Amino acid sequence: MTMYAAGVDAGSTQTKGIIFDDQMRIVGRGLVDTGANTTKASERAFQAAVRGAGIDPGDVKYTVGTGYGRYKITFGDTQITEITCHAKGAHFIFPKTRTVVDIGGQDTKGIRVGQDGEVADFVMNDKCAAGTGRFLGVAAQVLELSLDDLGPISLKAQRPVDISSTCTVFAETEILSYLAQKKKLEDILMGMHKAIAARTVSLLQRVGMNEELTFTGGVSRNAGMVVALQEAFEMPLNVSEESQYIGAIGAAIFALERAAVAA
Amino acid sequence: MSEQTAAQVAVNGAQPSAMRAKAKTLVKNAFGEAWKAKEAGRKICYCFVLGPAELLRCFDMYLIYPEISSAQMAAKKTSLPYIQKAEDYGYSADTCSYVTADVGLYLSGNQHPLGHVPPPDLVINDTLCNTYYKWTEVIHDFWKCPVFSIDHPVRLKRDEKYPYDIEETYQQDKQYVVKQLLELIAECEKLTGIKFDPERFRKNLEFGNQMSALWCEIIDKTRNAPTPFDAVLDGYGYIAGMNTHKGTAEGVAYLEAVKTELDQRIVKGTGAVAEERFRLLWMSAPCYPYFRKIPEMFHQRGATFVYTPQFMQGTRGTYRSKMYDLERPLESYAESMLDYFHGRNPRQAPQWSMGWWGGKDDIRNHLDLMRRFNADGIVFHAIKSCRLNSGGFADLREHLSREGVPILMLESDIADPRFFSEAQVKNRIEAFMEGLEERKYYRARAAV
Repeated sequence: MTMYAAGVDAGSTQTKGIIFDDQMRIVGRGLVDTGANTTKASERAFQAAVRGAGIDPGDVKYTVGTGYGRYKITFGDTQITEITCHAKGAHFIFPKTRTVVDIGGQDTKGIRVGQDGEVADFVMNDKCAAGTGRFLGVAAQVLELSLDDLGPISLKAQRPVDISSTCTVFAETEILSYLAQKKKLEDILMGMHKAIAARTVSLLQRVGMNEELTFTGGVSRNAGMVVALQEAFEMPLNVSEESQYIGAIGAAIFALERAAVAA
Repeated sequence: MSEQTAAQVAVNGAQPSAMRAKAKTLVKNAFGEAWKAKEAGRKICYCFVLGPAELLRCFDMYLIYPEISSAQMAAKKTSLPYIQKAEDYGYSADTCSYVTADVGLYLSGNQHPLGHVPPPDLVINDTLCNTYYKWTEVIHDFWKCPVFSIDHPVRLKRDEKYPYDIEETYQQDKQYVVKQLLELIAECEKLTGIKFDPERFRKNLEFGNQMSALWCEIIDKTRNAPTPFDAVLDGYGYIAGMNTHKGTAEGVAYLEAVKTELDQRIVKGTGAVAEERFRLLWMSAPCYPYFRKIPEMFHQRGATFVYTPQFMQGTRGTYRSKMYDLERPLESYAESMLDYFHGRNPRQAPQWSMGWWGGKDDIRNHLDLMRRFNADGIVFHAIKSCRLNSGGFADLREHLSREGVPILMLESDIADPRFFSEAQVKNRIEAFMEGLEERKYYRARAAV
């Protein structure tokens, strides 16, 4: 009988669920907005993934919770930080990954990865959301756009503006000032993306930027961000279709390993 | 068993050090008895932990240590209202939080959580920490008391940038410090009406030597596996107990008791944690507002701290292998001051006092400590309100990481609880511990 294991990544913005079978295949996915109740969101993400896999929740032998809300995942068997899970997940999808850059809703992480997918070193932004996904959230709000529109529009930029502020809150003032100067929307947006990329580079340099570099987290779906990062890093970037699930994938791999040990 | 002790056992699964609790009593008494000393006619001297306690004690002065005072406010979770009082008064949140907590104390009529602290009759400034200059000015402004400054020149290593004769300049520096000490003696005689007794000074230095020898033995005991005490949770307690009683018989008795307890723990195999799985080095001072919480996050995963260079730095380097020469006490005392500064003095053995500037010597010293204490990794604790302390961490992290040393950077503060975010700190600690676990796993697998 096939054995299943689950990984649930309760992030600050979205909660992701992944089901693996014992052949290390992804058989189910779930994605929901986290909202105010992390426990419920985790359950919904898990249920969606289970439905996608066409199995019963009882078929899942082991569940690992990760992300900021990991201790709220009450049905999980154990918890592992998203740092360890992102390294594991990125290594699973791109086995030559040596550096992971994860831009999430409220933090940006740089992770140096060993040859087995283990965390060799990591850095995170401290006590300030500048240069994180939140930065884009602010831009979307001010410009009355949806988050999904930001990337495609920014790619049309010809002359990106300079966003000099290092503060997410003050960046809003800067955007308003550029709007008042009648700067083009795409140029303002690419300016925002470049500002995040510049901060990400300095963060990543602290752990060392070794090839291959894999971009994970929700912001990696943003094509404008991928371009801005590639330019700033001056090296190619692995981006997977599964990139926003990578934390959950890492968690599911740990779950599978532990289920195997338990069996 | 007290409620607190029971909680401690529950977290660690190990028996806590009784001498850490004893340190609390010693510090509490040091504050509690201050006002009585004032009423008994003794002069009150504010002197930093790096100051010349053994000399000042020759004049029956009662010593108050401003850093210990602020650290105690923080450890008792009472520092924030004091810090905010100083900020309302105009101090920036970037100022050393030991200073702002202390200023808040003055603005609160010197009502400290451990007792009413008497105002100073004398303040000693010295040049071992940059902040002391301004801090003593502040104390002077508040209390209108005299300030005596001791200047210790700092020499760099001899190289093309410093081509002078090290021995010759060292002797000159020493005479310079001795002269200042003689001036301090004259000031103290004038203030207290007590004549300097060289025999009493010699006796205080003898106590100092005994404490130094004991302390060197104590801090080497963490080389045992399991370590009998945690360098952060217990170690900083011992330092507080010791620093409030430098150069006294009580200080010697305390360290003897610490040593006896640790010897017993070693014989019984009692560790700082129930099952010691990882041994770590702690760089910098602790986060006093969450003094127990942070080490316990490590303890929960079987990690314990086995060394911190503060064992030497926070005790003014009097506690090191070199003893005071009782035949020439003042000169020897001056040498101890000159030799202190962060391993920058070429005459000093590096492992006893090291810096965090990221230079080649610092990197080698960290690697030596890793070997000496058989450590698995290093935790750098960057202090938000003390950049002097944490300025070199980024460079050190990079260099040591290249040498394969697992490193965790944490940021909080010595006294300001607003710079501690539990969720962030916990996340980083857990990720670091998971990294160590994985490392161990893959190494074991590779060995098979």
